[in-house]
Amino acid sequence: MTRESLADRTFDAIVVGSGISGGWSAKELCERGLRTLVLERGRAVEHPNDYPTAEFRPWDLPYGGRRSLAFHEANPIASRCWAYQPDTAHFFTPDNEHPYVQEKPFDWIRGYQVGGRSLTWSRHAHRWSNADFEGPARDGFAVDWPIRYDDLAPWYAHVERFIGVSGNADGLDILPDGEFLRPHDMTVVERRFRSIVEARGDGRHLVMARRAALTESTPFFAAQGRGVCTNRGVCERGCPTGSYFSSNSSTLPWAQRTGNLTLRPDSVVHSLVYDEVAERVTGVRVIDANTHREIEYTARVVFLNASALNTNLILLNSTSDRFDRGLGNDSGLLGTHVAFHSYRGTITARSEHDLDRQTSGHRPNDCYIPRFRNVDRQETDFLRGYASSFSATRNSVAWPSGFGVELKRELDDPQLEPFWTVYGQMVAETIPKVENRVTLDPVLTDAWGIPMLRVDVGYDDNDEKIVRDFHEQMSAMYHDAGFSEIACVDSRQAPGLDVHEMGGARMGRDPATSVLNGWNQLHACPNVFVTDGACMTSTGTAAPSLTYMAFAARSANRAVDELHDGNL
Amino acid sequence: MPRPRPFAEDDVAFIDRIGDVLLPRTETPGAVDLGLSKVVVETVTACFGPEETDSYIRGLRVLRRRFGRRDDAGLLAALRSSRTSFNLDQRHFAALTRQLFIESYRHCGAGPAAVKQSDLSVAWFVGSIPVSSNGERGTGLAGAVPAVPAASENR
Repeated sequence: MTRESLADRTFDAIVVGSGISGGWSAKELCERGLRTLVLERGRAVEHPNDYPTAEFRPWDLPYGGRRSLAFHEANPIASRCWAYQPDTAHFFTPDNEHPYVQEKPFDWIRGYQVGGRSLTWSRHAHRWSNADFEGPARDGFAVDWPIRYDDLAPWYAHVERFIGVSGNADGLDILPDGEFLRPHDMTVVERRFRSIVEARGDGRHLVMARRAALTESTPFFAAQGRGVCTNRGVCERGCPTGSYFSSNSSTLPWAQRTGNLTLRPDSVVHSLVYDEVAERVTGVRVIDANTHREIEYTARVVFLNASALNTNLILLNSTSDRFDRGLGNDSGLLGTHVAFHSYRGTITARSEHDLDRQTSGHRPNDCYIPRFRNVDRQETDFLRGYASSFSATRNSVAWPSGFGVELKRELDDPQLEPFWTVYGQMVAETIPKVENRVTLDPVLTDAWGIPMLRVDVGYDDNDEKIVRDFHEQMSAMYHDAGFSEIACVDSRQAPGLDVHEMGGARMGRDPATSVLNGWNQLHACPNVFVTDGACMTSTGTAAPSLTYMAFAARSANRAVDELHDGNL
Repeated sequence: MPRPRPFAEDDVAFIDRIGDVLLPRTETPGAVDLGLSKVVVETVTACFGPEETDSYIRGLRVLRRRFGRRDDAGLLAALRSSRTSFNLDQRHFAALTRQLFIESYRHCGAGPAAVKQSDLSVAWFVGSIPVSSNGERGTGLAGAVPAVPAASENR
């Protein structure tokens, strides 16, 4: 193997992580002319050649795609994720590949490969509103966000135009509109439910979820090599047409075209290198995952997009004389105030209306009830609130009743169930707390000699109250709609399974109470930008990925401007 | 390491026979023609824990002894009334076997059901179309729905 020369190891910018936010950091930096190195700890995944199961039919998988005991036993943590299936397992990190210590149960679902979890994300692309950004200040938790919606709005639009988001302009303050492609269709029962929810007149709405999937073809998307969604319904296997947004199909190839991108898979970041004299980070220490050789890369700016908890790990492990508790950790708050989304509550039912109607085709989307609790004022005994997904589907009879020839006929000519299946799932905000934190284990290390992460994150009483309220409020709406067989379930799943872990290096105005400033720079080391989930001051109720992408784009452009002005 | 197969040859033969009773050959292939009992046996062996498998085997063997002779009509009648006439192990065996035959028939790629059940549709989703006269589920492949419809009423 040829050793890289110093010149080969020197770049203008380094991006750690190639997932949904890392891809955006790389694209923007490369487009603005910076020679950019993207470090990815996992293997290479090339779009669309490395989607091995994309065209599989059920008979191509053992046991018809059912998960075997051995499959569960090999990866009990990953197995708790609904998307971890025999046809998608290659996009999930095996449990034993990167162990961590659970102070409390925490299911850390990871995707170590080029593209990260952008290959398996659910593609909800909702803007945050001022109700989210103003929440901590209004309700007196965490710290005030140093930005507001207007700061991010142009960057939301910038991202939406590039990734393609289907949706309606619904005109709701709680869910700001974006630049949308053709929306998916609601089912007739969803439309009926929408009219009932909105007739309450108490600020509740049902909309089509905004989804990062191409429902229209434009020359711009064609130039990215992406086509219109074919509604196959197997998105998590990787999208061969690039219709749903991933780093692999979109931002990374775009960055590659500039000639400024160097992508290095199998590169585990150990820590950042801090120069005590220059008072800047000068590079990144990397361990080659295959050779275990340590390599140092240098750059003028570093973007951390390793995913929320791994970014915390890297910062905590980047110690120096100046930063003996972790890079940028003057406040001592690095690793604290980790939060997540609670997905514990679900509610199912049947609708026996509209039985003369059915649907046609697959829909890679569902409906969405934006947050309606405590929006304009505090009205409950818990803080903040929740959104909910919602769908009403008309399915074929799952388990025909016949035997023999009759059963065969039922299977060959499937009939519709005499009802619509209704489903809703809560997405609740959790309150960041100092005791919900990650730290480095003082003894245990991983296969690369890096300290293991200790995760101490759990629910609190506010979270319990929210689950109860979700079930009460949704049940009332279901009753209003005439749904039957209403069933509420609290999964009591561990945090982490939501795959929306956030915080640890929160943004804020005051270096004494936050880690990052309003441009996602470390207060104490401004040539390091954190634009993944670690930066989040609070969690809101909308899926965070679009916000991560907007932060990444905004900060990358800021970094280039600052470099040009000689400030970095 | 693969788990040892908990089935004796007679057990497999009995499952094969149940497949023939549940999904017989008609003008199209049945469970025996499609080799579905092999899938059922492999799935039970690989996908279920010791408790469930033990219960399954216990139920199987009681029923195998009871219907050891070639009495397909009696077996079919017993399966039809399994909820009331079988004990817990037998009900578990009967229900799971039926479920796995249904799943494997849908997933085997050979039966007519396979086309409908594993449809990787390329049609645009439409949220409301009439149910056809026989109540059959629309697949979006029949040409009744345009691939790119007029703008949705959601817009």
